[in-house]
Amino acid sequence: MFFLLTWDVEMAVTPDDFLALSKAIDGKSNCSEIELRNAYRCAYYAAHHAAKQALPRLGLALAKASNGGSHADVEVSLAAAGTYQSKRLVAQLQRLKRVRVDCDYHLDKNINANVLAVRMAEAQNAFVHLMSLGVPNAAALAE
Amino acid sequence: MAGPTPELKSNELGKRVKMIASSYADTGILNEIAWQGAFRDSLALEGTPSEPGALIARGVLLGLKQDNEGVDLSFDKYATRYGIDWGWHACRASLALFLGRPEFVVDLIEFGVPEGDIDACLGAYSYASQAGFMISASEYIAKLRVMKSEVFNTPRAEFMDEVVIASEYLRTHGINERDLADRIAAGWKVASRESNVTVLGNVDLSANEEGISFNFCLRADVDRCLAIQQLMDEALINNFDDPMFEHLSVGVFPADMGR
Repeated sequence: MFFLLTWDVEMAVTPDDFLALSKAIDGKSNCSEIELRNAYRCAYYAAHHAAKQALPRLGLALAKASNGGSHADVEVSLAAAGTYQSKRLVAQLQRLKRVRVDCDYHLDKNINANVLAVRMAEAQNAFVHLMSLGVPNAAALAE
Repeated sequence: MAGPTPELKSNELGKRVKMIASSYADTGILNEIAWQGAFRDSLALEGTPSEPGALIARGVLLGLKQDNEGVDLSFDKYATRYGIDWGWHACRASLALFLGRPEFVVDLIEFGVPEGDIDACLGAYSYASQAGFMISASEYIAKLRVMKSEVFNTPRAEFMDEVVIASEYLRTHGINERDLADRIAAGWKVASRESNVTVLGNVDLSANEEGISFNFCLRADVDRCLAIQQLMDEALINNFDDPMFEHLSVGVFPADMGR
C-alpha cells in the first residue's frame, strides 16, 4: 500500500535526470559518435520537458499544433505567450530539435562535433532558463 | 619568330587576389601586406590592357575590407567600360555572403551560367548555396551531374546532399529561397560586426524534415558563440515580421573546441 502511494506522488524521471545523464555521457573523455548523439538528445529532452513543465506555471495551456507532433505542441503553446522572450525560447527549441532529429534519425549523416557542442551548451542554458520560468523570484517570461 | 603570348598582368593579379581571399576565408586573417601590394597593382594597371581584370580584382579586394561603396564603384566602372559578363557576376556574387548582399547572387542567377561550363556552374553553385539560395543551388547541382563533374567524388558532395534536401524542404513548404537568403544575410551581419570575433568562410548546413540549419563558423569559444547566437535571434525577431524560425535556424559554432 505504501509502495503504491509512493508511485502516485513521485515522478519516474524528471527533466533534470535527462540533463544529468547528458552531462554524464558528455563528461567522458573520447566520446564515441553514438555517445555524443545520446548526450545531445538527452540535453534536448531536458530542455523540451522543462518547456512543457513550464507551461502551467506560466498560465499557458498545452495546445495542439496544426503541423507537427508533441514537440511542436509545446512550441506553439509557449509561443502563445506572445512575448519577445517566448519567441526566442521557441526559436531555441526549434533549433535544438533539428539537431536532435539528425542525431536520432539520420544515422548516415556526419554531424559536426563543434555544432553539436555549442547546441549542447545551448540546450543546457535553455533548460536552466525554462526551469526558472514561473517560479517566484525567478525570471519572468514577460520580459 | 614570335614567342608565346605574354600573360596579362591582370591574370597574375587575379591569382594573387584569389589566394588572399581564400586565406582570409580559411583563417579569418587578412594578409595586409599582400592586400596592399595587390591593391596598388590594381591601380597601376588602369589604362593598360589589364584594366578589366584589375577593376574586378580591386572590387574583390575592397570587398574583403567590407568597403561596400568601393566595391560598387569598381564593379560599376567595369560595367560602364566593358559591359556585364559572367566574370563580373561571378566575382561580385563571391562577395555576397561576406558583404551581406544576397542581391549579388540574385543578379548572377538571373544572368545565367554559360552553357556547358563546369567551372562556372560550380562557382554559381558555391555562391548560391553559401548565401542560402538552395533551390537555385540544387539546380546547379543537377546541371553538374549532367556535365559529369568530378565534384561528386570529393568531400564537397556531402554538403551538396544537404543543399538538395534543403531545396526539397523549401519547395515542400512553399518557401521562397530569397526569404531564406535574407535571414542568413541578417544573421551574418550580426556575427561579422561583433568585435573580437572572426567569422570564417566555412559554413555548416544541415537539412531534414524539421527544417534547415545554417551555421557560421566563428573563431570564438562556446560561450561567445552562445552570446552571439542570442544577438542573431534578437536581430531576426526585430528585423522580420516572420523570422521563419519554424523552418530555418541561423546559427554559429566554434571553429575550435580547444580539447
